[in-house]
Amino acid sequence: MRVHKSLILGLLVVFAMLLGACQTAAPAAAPAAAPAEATTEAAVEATTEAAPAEAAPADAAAGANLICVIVPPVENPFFGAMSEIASAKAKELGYEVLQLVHDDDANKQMELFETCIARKASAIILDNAGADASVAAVQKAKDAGIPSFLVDREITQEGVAVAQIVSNNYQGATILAEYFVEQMGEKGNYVELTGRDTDTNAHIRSQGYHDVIDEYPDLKMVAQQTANWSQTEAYGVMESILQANPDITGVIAGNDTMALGAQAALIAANRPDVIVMGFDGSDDAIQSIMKGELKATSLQPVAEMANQAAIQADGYIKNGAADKPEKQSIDMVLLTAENACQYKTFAPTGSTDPCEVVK
Amino acid sequence: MKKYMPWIVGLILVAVFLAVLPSSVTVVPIADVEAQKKSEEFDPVAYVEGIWSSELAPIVTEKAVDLSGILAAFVVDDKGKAKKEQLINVAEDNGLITVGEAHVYLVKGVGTVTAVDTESRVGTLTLQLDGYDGPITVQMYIGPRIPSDETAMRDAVGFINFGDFRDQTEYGKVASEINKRVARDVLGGLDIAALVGKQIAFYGAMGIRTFNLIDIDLSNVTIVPFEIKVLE
Repeated sequence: MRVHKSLILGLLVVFAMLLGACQTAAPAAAPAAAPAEATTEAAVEATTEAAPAEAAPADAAAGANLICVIVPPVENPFFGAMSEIASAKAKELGYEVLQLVHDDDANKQMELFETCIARKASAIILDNAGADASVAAVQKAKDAGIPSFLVDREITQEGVAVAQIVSNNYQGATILAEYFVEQMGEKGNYVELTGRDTDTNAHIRSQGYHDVIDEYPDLKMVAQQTANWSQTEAYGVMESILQANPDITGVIAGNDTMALGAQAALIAANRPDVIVMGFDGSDDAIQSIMKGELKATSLQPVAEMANQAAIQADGYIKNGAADKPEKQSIDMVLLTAENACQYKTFAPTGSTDPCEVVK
Repeated sequence: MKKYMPWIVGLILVAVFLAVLPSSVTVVPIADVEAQKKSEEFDPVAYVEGIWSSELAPIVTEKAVDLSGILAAFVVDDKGKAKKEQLINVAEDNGLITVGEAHVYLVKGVGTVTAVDTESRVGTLTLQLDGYDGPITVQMYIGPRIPSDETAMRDAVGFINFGDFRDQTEYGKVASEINKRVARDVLGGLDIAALVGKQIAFYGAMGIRTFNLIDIDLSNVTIVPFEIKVLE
């Protein structure tokens, strides 16, 4: 009997605790269970509290009417064009411009950001040096009240930059790969040359290529190698791949410079029949296509991205708010022998005359 | 010892209850849900599965506009080229324009299949659309593949936005998965070869890319089907 009484008492305690735990007003009833929840709640509160302070418009108007334009190495005409077009637009809008190059080095990029912060820039236009590594630099500028407008390459965090205007690399890669598959007759051995491993776009493009090509079992990738975006490196890589795989009929490259390097190696080895495609739509690639060498490239909307970055930076400096969503994706265009002659400096020339390949 | 047993049992019960409590009433902060949504393990198959019947299907059928009317509104020259400004007006009235300046439409219609091309894995059929006798050729993807750069269905429904995903690859994979699902669920059960000469009623999406293009080639349009009913 006593046993039962005690058991009932024990169960009553459990019941009481259950009730207590269910009532939010009785936190003392279950102190052991509380900490896990309490910390997460605190964390949520902390982030929501921090947000409005961060979102406050930058006091950039008080800055030095300077816009920094920071890009990767300009040996690649793509980045040179990006820097020139953005700078020209910013100057046209009445800003002083500081053009800088980070050499794909996140540490150097951070130093350049510190320079821009020290010079009280009103805004920074950036083609970044790494999706993860660049977050800290952009955050540092934000903390100093300087808004960043990213072009071309994404970073892995949202809410740090005011805008991320990227060309739709995935769409550009898939549209190119669909054409590659068509030109290859849906079969054959091919080679992929990939870009610099630290660059997100190298991965996005490769992913886009494979999401298409891998659907065709008769298309076989016999080699996949990086040439680090470099023309000379691609030439050497192509030479050695060709020796090991003389039966290839196609090469798909992550950018134009690598495609041009591979194309040169193939011509030197008397294999002009191999289908080579690049990515970017540079003037060199366009000329190659119109000579009947490269078969296609995807045109990056460099001019549009660069102009948009300057225009949106100007709008933000003047109004203290962005008028477009942070993440903006701009379409790419497939350039082939049929339309490549209608483009120059990463934009349409305005001509719609039919193109003619002159070997 | 024996007389303390019930108390021990009671206390064990309390302990068990306390141990179970946090896991049975888990508080998940919104930030974590967001982080999970954007985590490395983004699963396009699960994402599309989650929206296909509940969100996508009702929007396609509710918002679809008669394709014959849209095509009739396009002004094309004798080479099948259209002017961007004119197309923008039609898109604003009948569809959506993406940030990337693609014009996307949810469409419906009835037509007779005049040809089926299955030579490529990106197969198409040609349709004589009821109520339209203009110069634009109407085609429809019939699989087994739909091109991965074809994002009309993802974009035309209007609620799947780039900013909701971690990066372009995730966003792109959603389009690819929607296309795969179309190939499997919409086209998988059809006897494609037997469609020639038949009349079909369809719902679907259509995309026209315009960015960085001067004249837009509208000699033909290609529909991504969402529903195909064979009428005869």
